[in-house]
Amino acid sequence: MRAVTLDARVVARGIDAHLDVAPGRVVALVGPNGSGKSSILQLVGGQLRPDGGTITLDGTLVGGPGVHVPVHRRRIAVLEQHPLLFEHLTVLENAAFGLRARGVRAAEARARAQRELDAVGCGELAPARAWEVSGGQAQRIAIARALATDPRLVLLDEPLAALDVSVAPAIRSLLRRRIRDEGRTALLVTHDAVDALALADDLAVVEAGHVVAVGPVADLLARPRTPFVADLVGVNLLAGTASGDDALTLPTGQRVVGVADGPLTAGREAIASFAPAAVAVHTSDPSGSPRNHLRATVTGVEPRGALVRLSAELGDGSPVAADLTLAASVDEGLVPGCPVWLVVKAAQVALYPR
Amino acid sequence: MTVPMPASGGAGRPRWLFVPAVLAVLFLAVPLLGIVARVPWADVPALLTTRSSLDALGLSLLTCLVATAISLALGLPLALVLARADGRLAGLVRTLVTIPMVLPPVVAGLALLITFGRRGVLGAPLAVLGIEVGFSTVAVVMAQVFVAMPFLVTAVEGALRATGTGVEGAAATLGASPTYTLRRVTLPLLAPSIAAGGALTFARALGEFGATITFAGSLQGVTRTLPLEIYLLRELDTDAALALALVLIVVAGLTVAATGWLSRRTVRRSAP
Repeated sequence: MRAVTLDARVVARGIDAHLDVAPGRVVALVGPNGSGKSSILQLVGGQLRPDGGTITLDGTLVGGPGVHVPVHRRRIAVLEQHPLLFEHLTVLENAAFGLRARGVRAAEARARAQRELDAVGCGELAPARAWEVSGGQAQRIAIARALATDPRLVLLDEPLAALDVSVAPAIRSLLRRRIRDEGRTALLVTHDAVDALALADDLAVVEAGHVVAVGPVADLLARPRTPFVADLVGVNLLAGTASGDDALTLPTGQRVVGVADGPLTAGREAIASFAPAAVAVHTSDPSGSPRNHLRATVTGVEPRGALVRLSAELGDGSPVAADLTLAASVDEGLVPGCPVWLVVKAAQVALYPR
Repeated sequence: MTVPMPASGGAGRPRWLFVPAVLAVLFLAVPLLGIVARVPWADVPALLTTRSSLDALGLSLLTCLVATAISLALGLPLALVLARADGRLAGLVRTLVTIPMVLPPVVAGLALLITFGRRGVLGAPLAVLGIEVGFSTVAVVMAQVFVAMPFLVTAVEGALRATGTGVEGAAATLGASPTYTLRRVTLPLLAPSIAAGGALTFARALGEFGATITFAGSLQGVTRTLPLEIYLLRELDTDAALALALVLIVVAGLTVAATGWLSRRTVRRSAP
């Protein structure tokens, strides 16, 4: 039995999505802004009604033709960017809220709430007013409040996005412990590859309202197949046609040699990916080199810490990024519009079927 | 000689603005101070305890409390519904609710008289049943609710729109039914605004004159509220009128202070 099945359409938002989640799995939804990740979460949560299709939770139909189980009867928990604590209540009353709403007796609810607060490291804040706590504490309390209700599904909508960078890692590991390690089922919307790797078992790539790829996080991130995922993990991605066991031909006619972890089938679509740090930039053709060299035009140069991120475009407009030292970029006189050769060692190019 | 002024922002204002600004303050404050200066302080206790004064005070207190309670009972649900409604119908209702706030009270009284008077659209059938509302204490309360309830609706609706739906949505995901959410989240968070709106409503009802005299008349102990009594006495017994006016000024001052305190309380709570 599936914990979640979703096969739903929302015309106004261009959503036509299909997604299954097995019990105990955490699935990260990634995709460009406006691709429909949050809408999918709202369809499962019940805040959004589909125009067509069905949604089931633990095998029970919660959304479909003539059926719409309201949010408060879906037995889900939602964590968003903002903790949305009830500021007129104490921290303990916040954590006990879901249990009280379900009719659990006050003493029992408070005891459970206290245990949940202890489990997120906020036990001593129980008597404080909700508006008195810091942003990181508020998110911890929101986690305790959500998990106190024993939800059958946790929906996380960028739960770390609004947190200070000094606080986010601690909350990330808390979520990992309380959600993934405890075997809960969850859907996570994120913009961050680190969140996906730390918190999720599977990745679902959402583009233009569709779920275009689903698979184990490590697999999808190691072999990105869409520009968005390549961007997410910070690698270059070039698509072409396999032209041998260890090479592909780009639409520009240029050949890219690399390392394939399985044999490629000539004539089939294939992908080459490599890190920006593996790219060297030359203003003259380093001919005779056994390495890949690609003709490109510089489109941008921007400092990134001690390095410079150079953006370039191949003849067909495919973007490639290269990380250079500041000195190298100055010596070569690299400015937008400058024609360059991008040189990449074959050993640093991963090839795989599309 | 010209005084150089900073070119931008609120950092500097032309000094000549102070002349009209001070005039405005004087115009608003001097008449109030004038009343306070003219009040025959030594006689105030006696003036406020005459038969007619006590009747007016008691009637005003009773009718305003009832009018505020009715405004809360009907206006609060209206505000809750309106705050979450969009579209043409909601816009139309919002306009309708605002009209009594800007309508001359005498017109409001006329409208009530035409509708609920003995020959009114609803008054005539009610009269057949033996119910006559015109020129009764009930009419006083109706006039007050008509002009004062919009203050409660707009105050509460504005506060509700400003707080957004985030926490209510969070309550739903925690398993709270809409009624439980209303009782345990929405209303407690709105409490300062409801109190402030209620205070404004009470104050407006207390000052009601035009609609009351048009629709309810001026019968001592039945429909003659404080403002009507003051109007009646303004030439007959100026000292008594001033003493009663003092009561209204004090209540108005307390209302303004209370609403200010409540709104600061709301701001502090909703600060992150």
